[in-house]
Amino acid sequence: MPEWIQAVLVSHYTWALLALLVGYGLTLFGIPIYTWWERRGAALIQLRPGPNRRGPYGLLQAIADAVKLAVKEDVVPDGASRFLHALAPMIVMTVALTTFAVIPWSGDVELFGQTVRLQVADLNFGILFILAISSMNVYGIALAGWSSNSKYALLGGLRSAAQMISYEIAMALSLVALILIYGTVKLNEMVTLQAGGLFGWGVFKAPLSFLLFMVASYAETNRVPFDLVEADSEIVAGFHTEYSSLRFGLFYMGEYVHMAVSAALTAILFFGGHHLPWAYALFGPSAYARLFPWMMLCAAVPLLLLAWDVNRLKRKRFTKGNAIFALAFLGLAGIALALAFSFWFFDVEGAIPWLAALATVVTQLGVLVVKFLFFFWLFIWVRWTVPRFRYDQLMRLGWKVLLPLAVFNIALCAGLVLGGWL
Amino acid sequence: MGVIKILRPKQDLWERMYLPALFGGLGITLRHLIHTWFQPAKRPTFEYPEERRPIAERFRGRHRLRRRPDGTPVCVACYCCQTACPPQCIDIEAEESPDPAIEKRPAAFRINMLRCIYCGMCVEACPKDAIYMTKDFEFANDTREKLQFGLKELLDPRDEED
Repeated sequence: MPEWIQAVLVSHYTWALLALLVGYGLTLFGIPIYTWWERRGAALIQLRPGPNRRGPYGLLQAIADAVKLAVKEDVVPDGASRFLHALAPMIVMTVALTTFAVIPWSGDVELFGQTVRLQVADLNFGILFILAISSMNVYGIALAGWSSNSKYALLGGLRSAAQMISYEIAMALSLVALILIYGTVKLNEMVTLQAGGLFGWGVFKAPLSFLLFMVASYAETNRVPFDLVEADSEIVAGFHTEYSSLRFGLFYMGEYVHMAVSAALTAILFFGGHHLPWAYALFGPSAYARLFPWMMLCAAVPLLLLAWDVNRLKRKRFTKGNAIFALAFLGLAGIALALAFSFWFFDVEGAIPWLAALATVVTQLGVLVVKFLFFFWLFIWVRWTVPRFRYDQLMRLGWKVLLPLAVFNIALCAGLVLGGWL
Repeated sequence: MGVIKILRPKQDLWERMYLPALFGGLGITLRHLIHTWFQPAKRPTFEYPEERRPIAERFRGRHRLRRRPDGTPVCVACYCCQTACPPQCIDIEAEESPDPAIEKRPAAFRINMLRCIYCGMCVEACPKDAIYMTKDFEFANDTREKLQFGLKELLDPRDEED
């Protein structure tokens, strides 16, 4: 292999760019899928089929929605502060996307004698960066509410400011306990510390922290049951009442990106990130390279099922497109199977160590994405299960329940760490 | 003194933790999801263009005007339906019929289908049984003008003559 390719492959910039692609892939390019997922999930929970017309299973619905949104008139209300009105959705989206920079998508791998990792920026204040940046989100929402010159938007903005500040405290304090346990604020080191067994995971070390973090992150993302910011039965649409077209789209996408960040963070902080429990104990130091063919097999099975099911769709809608999708699913399954078998019948680890290293990265990314998707689904699942809190209930929960619990949790964890039990 | 005292049941610690109830709720929604996913036939919804709800025997849809055996409208332009119509969506222009046995015939018979409330009063008012209502309700269109039905749209198609 030529020198320059090696240099490019081990370059920090290459891996930062790859991590950026992964992060954007899971957020910006994932949003069409997530909106479809949310609507289908909501529908199935409510005993109806949901969007199932455009594309197989309605997968292309989000594209139709996006086109509709993009061609709408962009209305700026009379008397609005035009500059801030335009700035607010940008803040929300920028903040949401920036937090992805410190998420480690894989562990350290040896590549041509150098250590690389799928992470955009390995900041030595990782988790603090996320807390700091994500709390900027409140500016976007409060500004949107204030600049719209509408009482509903203003009420929504006020509510968001009060709510997000209240729950940020509980969130940060729940993470303090975690920082005490791990002894680091770098996310990749936190993940490494969870590499051992299942009971090394953060959720088993600090279950109360996990609970507090989950509740606070639902409030931070303004999702049900804490979506008072856009309580449609009370204040129309809250802070984005006066937004239309793609500016509304930015808020909408920002919410999903926030959910994605929260889901990824939950997986990383409490559920072992890209580690499978006991992987190293069972499969040796190159466990993830060995698990690669199994992961590919796990990916190929649902793809084959999809390819078969798409052709079977009873009502022949979008017939030509279904065939294309079936072929695409079949092709992906084929690639996955080919990779799996080539890793099984060819000693890649011994012959091409750099390929094994790449396989490690892909496997770890796959493990993290599965966990991420579960927590993303949890957001949707909870949304269609729990009704919205009343405003006084929300504040009581934030200040009188979560905050004392978080302080108690810190004391508890500090005591346990001091005593050497954690 | 006009004060309604609401007695709220006392909640024990288990209930006040909310979490058991939350997980119970998640279980219920998951069960619904799985049932809806795997048993599409049991869904209470109809996938409209392909599946249709049964239409009631007495359903009142778009109007039709009956024809005589020679193809001319049965309507004698008596204005009974126009008078009976609550939203006043019927507009008839009468002219003399060339047939000496028939006094009048409609030169134009317009129904504003957007204003019509499908009450069926026109059908009841008609002395000649010339107007009746079908079970067709799928005539949505993209302009208002296209929904001002005239004789062309309202008269029975020729091949459906009785």
